[in-house]
Amino acid sequence: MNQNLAAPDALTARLRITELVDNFFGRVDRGESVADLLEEQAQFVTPRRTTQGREAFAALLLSLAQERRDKGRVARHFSVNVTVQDLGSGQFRVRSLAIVISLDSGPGAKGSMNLGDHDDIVTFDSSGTCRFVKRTVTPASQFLLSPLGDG
Amino acid sequence: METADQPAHPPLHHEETIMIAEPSLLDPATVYARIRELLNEFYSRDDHGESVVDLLEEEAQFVTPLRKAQGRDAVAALLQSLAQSREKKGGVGRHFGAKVNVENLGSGKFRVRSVMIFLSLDSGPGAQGFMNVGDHDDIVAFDSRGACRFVKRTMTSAARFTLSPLGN
Repeated sequence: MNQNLAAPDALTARLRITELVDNFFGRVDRGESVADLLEEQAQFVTPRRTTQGREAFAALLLSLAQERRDKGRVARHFSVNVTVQDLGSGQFRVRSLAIVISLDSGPGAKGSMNLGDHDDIVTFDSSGTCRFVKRTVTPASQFLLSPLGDG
Repeated sequence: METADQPAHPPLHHEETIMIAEPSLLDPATVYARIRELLNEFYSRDDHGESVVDLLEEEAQFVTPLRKAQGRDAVAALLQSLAQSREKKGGVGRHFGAKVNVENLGSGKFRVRSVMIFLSLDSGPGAQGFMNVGDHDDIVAFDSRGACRFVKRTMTSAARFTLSPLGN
């Protein structure tokens, strides 16, 4: 665990955490690595799998992005309702609602919108940089979207 | 921000609610960040069936085309009963706000306009999903300690859609 030698004030912590969450999903959508946004022993927990370790966590997300590309699927992830609770010692509980809108390609392609509740742990290091210690997602609901064709 | 020991919006005694912070003490960036935090906290708790009572002023009002409630406890109870009703039916609902605009009304009060999106999904055979879009026109007040709460939340329905559930 990092020592919280440069504890940010509450508003700064909140802004940096929101930036971290946005940065994470921005990279996921672009198929870029999130490795430097994760603590070394970071965990990613979903109902289907648990992945531990920065490299394994980042590799999993890269492989999922590659899988989407291979299928001709486009996906955009974003978070809303980000709430932050100071747990002390530079750690924060971060809850948010993740929305994933995705669209397949080809004849009969379908779109979908998935909602998931995130309950994460974020830590700040001595330089004031924050990273995920753990990301836990629980699916909330899934909807079918009908593609409108190319805009 | 909430801490483990001290919630961001501790319950107020009546005498504290009338002690409004001097607007000059609140810089716009802090005001905006705290109001965003208030909105996020409100929707997050509502979605999880948790009480929003400490996010409301004592005489807070909640007005929608279908419902009206006045008073902190009545508004909080209404929202919890709606969440329980959804849960009892096996439904899931998630709200979020976007495009938050803040206007300083003076005396520690702010007009907060935003778009609210509510996504919900029924359960069981023939279950339907819905997306409701509404315009919120709210009043938020800051107290002498810099905490903010809703004085009034008014929602006007803008558009409604059906969504097809995708299944598990």
